[in-house]
Amino acid sequence: MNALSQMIEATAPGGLILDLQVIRPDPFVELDGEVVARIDGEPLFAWADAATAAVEARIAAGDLVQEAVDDHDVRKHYSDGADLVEDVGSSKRRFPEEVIPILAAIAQPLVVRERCRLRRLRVRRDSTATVAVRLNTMKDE
Amino acid sequence: MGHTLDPEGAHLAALRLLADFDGTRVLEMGCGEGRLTRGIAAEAASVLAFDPDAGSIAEAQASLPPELADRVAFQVAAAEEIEIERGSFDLVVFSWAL
Repeated sequence: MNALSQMIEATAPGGLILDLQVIRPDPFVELDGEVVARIDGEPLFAWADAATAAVEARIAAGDLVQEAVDDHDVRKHYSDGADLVEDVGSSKRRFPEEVIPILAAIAQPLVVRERCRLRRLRVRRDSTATVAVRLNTMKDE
Repeated sequence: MGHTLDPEGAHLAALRLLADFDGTRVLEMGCGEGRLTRGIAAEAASVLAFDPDAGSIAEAQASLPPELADRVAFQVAAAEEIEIERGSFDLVVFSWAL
């Protein structure tokens, strides 16, 4: 069973799933409030797109109902450029090669700002997951 | 050296904007170091938070305020392998993971 199916089954009929994902555009690096670089977010977006597609499929199947969406910025604060370059290098994101030495040399604090989307999804009372539970219960009786 | 994700609390504010956690049974998937878990647990009746990274779970447990300990359970697990009773949660939180 995939993760989304597992979570839908875990949720009581009529309960909620809050789905938090990164969204485009690419994250920006800021120094003293000014944008100094862009991070290539595509590797992570591709992963987030697949997750979103899985949710959309369950909405289309009638298992989930999207009730609300909130887009917001989230910031990650770094002590300096070396800290930033190391952290991004170990993540699903990446810098253009040419900016890495420039950023790594920055001694001041830096902030990465990225866009996120939170979706409120309600598990339908008659979702297929719930029906499966009912059928199993009937079989046991 | 060091970095901090979302000290402004934008994620938690968004969660609270879209849902009322008061008295709910919450399942948090991909809880990491428990950054959101603490805020959710302050309002929820119970929280089961899990993550496949054992180091992150250890950090989450260590940073949980004692007054929330009786309503939060942490588990090292991936979503596909965790054993959960059907329909046992009012609210499920996914954070950057599916």
